[in-house]
Amino acid sequence: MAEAASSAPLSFDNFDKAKRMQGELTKRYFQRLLTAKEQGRKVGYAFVMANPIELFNVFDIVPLYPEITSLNISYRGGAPPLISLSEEMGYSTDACGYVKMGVASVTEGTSTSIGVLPKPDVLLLTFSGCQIYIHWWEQLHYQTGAEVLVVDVPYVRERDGKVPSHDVKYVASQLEESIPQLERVSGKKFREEEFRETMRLSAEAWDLWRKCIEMGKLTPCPMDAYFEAIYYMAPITIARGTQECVDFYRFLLDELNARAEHGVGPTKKEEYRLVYEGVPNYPFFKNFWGLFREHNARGVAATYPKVAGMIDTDSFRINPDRPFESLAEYMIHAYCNWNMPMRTDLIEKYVRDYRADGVVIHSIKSCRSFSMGQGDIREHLAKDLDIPTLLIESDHVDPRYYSEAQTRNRVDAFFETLALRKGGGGN
Amino acid sequence: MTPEETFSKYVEDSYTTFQTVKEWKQASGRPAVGYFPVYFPSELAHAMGFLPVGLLGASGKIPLDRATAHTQSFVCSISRSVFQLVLQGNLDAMEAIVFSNICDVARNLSGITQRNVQRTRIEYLHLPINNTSQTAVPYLRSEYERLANTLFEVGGVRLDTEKLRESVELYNRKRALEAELGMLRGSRPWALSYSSYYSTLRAGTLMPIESYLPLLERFVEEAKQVEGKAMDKIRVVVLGTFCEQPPLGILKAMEDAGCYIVQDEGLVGERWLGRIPLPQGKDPLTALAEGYVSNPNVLTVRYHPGLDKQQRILEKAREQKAEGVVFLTPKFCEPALYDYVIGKSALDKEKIPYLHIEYEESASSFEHARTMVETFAESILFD
Repeated sequence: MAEAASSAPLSFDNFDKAKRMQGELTKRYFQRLLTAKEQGRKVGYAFVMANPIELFNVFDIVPLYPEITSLNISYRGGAPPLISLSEEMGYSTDACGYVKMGVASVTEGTSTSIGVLPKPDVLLLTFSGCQIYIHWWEQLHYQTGAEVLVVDVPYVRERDGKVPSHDVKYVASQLEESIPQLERVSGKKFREEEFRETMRLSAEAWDLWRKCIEMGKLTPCPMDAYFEAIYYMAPITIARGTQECVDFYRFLLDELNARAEHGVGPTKKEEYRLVYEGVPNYPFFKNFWGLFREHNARGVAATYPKVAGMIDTDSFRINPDRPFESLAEYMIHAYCNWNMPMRTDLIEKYVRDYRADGVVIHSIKSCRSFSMGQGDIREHLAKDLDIPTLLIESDHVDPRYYSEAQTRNRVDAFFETLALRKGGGGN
Repeated sequence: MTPEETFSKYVEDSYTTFQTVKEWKQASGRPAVGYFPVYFPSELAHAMGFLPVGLLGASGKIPLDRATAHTQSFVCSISRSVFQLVLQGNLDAMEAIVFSNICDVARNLSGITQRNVQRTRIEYLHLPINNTSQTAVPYLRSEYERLANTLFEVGGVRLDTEKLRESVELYNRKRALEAELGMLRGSRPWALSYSSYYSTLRAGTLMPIESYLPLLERFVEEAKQVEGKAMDKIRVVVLGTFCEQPPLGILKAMEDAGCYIVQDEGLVGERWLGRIPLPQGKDPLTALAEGYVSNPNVLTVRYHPGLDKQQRILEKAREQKAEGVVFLTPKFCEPALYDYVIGKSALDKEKIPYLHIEYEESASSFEHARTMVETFAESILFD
């Protein structure tokens, strides 16, 4: 397929409306969240990774994702005062930035750059992919007095991804057990038909989202499956199980098809195809993206956008006819709930299936769940498989750990290596 | 050789060589299973003919050069040193190594270990965190069955209910004796130094229980006879040492600087379960699962929605008549660092003095810690 830059000079803006739509959707979500209490709604805190938010939908509980509020605050430069406050409370510089921001955000009298966050009525602790959630929620419980609703999600421990049947049964049973607690918190009765309907909408959105991200296989790739996908993954998290979410992914799929048809993408042309592993650097998001964009590199596949669900791996499929079991399978197959050999194999598969030139690992100090062992991933990719792999370190919310000059040097050197391997010179 | 000398020999060996494990295997023809802290159902492995061996880090005895290539600088020392031991082949004597869900680092460590070993079977046990749920005990029982299947595949011996019953009783005896020692530290801490107490417990993670129990019994009896003399020191509870092992030097420095460590979390997973009741007709595997799920004691790495951790810390301090609490936390250990915030806010409200010190297993200079503790102890003594 010809590159648009060399044939039809179509503006990329014409093909970049989904991001604005996502912005509007997110704005509406925040509006609903920040006014929830005055409208008599209950607020439930939940994690991004593999949450059963469809249950919240049935009980009209508005979800607040401290990871999403924190990354938004951090993206707008608002992290330092919250991190300072948490460190005054006793949190170590070695603790997770999300936890620190999340705890500081609900401290009495704290206002954030997105407003005063509502306190939780229930803390939904779906331990999936990150053990630190437990300690975070425990602290929020002591701080706010809100009750904790636990759904314990076992880790995927077999290298081939097989999950013991007692794991699925355990998670599904806990989900069923949670109904009376949610009824009590919300003051609403569980309505099975509504649950099935929200599950149906959820399944529809997942299918569309899968089609979108798999477009990374096209050459040229019509999107950046890391930096752009981070915008695109928001609706599947904050609006899953709604028509609004389905509409967004239908629109996005059309837009990406139009990009492919017209040969346009997020860089002038596609010189490099990269696979990304790890959480992005939110305080310097655009700057960080720019380091790759200026080399005309496009992310073709990435692991991070799958934290909301491993939809492209056939590991789960939401099924309204077996709602609890299929929800349990979805929760078990969160990216960081996969063992490290499976994660390594997935990245290797992405390189192969998406015909990537190299892998970029962004390792963040805050998140051991993601980062611990990324050195081992690099060792395997670079030494065993001869895949050019760049590992850079900073943080997802704490700006103190990012040095643009240092990162730029490493990124530029990486592209020189890639250029040499492609048979050309450096840029 | 006195019991204490035997215990020290085993502890010294467990930093890097595991020669005692090799010798036991050669003599018995049976397999060994290494386990990463905090808790492991040793009874189960014992009943299936295995020697359960606690993997507690190299305590600074080896360089971590190879582990550093695979793990980041912000990863705790015990994980890096155990991984280095794996890469160097020091743990080849273990037919299997078992990890569990204590933190993200240990969890990912299980995976990269699996990718980097050839012969050793790596297993990962999921211990429930929803311990008020009706599903938790049956779930954990299923997990133990799964572990038993793995151990069967590795060692060739099936789990026998009667043998498990016998093993549970043996470990009940071990825990009861270790609890006696713990109580002795609470009532007459001058009669037993922390390092003797620690070596005794740690040897229990390494020795075959049949050899360990008689020595432990002798040691406990002898320790009870020591009269000693109380000194003018403050009584402290030490929290945070439940996984990575603090260098003994730091605890000695604390004692020298004016503290009696009347209770601590060193090797807590070994003794935390207490006594597992086994009435006639009770399935021992279910009893083992219930022992974990229903345990009313706080454990940092086991979330229990029915327990009030803050209240328990205050109760512990009161029960031990502690004048202060020392949070002795391993560098980069997130669970310990988060519990520190939860604990300190409870202590602040009750105006109980506390101190926070960080350590790494490989540390060898304790002057800074000694000065901090001296100041802390003096501030309490002369308050």
